[in-house]
Amino acid sequence: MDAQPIIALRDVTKVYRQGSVDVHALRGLTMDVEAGEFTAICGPSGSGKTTMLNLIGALDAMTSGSIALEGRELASLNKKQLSELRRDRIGFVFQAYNLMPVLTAYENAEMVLWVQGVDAATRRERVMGLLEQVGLKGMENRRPSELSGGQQQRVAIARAIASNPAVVLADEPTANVDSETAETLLDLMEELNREQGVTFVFSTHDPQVMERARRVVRLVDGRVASDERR
Amino acid sequence: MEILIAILVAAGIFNTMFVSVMERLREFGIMLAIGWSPGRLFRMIMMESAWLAVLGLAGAFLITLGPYLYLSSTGLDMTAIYGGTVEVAGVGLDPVLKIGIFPRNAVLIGLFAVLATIASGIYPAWRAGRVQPVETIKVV
Repeated sequence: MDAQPIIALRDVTKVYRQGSVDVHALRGLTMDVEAGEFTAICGPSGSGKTTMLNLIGALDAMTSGSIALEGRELASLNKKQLSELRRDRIGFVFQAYNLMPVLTAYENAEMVLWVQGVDAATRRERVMGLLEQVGLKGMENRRPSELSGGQQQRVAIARAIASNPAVVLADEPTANVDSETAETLLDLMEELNREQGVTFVFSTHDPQVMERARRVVRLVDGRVASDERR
Repeated sequence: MEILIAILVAAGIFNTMFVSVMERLREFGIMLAIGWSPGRLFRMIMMESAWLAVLGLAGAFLITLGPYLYLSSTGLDMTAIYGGTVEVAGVGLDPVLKIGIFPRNAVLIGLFAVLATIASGIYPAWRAGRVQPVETIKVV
């Protein structure tokens, strides 16, 4: 018997209302993501990549269909359960980093563990280890404004994996950095995937990301146009 | 008059809390996205309101203590303006004006300020919990 996929989308649709017009962002999307995958979701602007990640990450509600994360149907969860799911099982990496500007790199990376109620000593050990792993040792006390784009994204990656989530959803993670920095970020995420089995799902336009991904799903008009495994 | 002043004070406090929340919607969106619950966010902002109330009261006490002690002990000598006596409606008054606070009024005003500050946080706190992360953390 096949193992249960980490993410299962079935006939998912998402319709946005823009003024008096219905915008069909997703039109019956069906796909699975298995544990340990390093998957890139690509496609032209408006193809539904970000919408798909937002729905998987329980940041938005689908119009119809079903999405299950580790077998839990998102539509059946209340707001509190969805918050707990995001906190414990999903890591987010955003294009614009989305770090808390008033917190240091250490505090940003620590945030999820703090919300989880992890004790201070365990948090410290885990976060210091993570910051070292992402190459930010010695920069713990810097605020986002004192870090480069690539360094901020490293903090975001540390924050995303701090709670050992089932999956990290990365929305255009290399879009705001130069190609050299993008390469090092990809090295880091690939290493986390290979050595720690962290499942990554990216939305991307970046050919560098698509080249490195072991699975490339192409969306067109809110549907899967191709699904290539390497 | 007291009621009007109380309403104006409460409106000022509410405005401060509301603007503070509206300026941080993106941060709240990030917090909700990474797993904060709306309830936790509500509690955090209510705690901020309570802190604002306590700090505001302590600050007001410290700022007004010196002038109060001076005006209650030395007072304002109005002799230079009104001469040796001040008379209002045929009643002679001491030309040195002193102030005093009734303890009951001081407690009531302090209590009102604290409760108004905390109450003013309720709507902004509720509003913060209803932030849609997808909307507030959009890439710009």
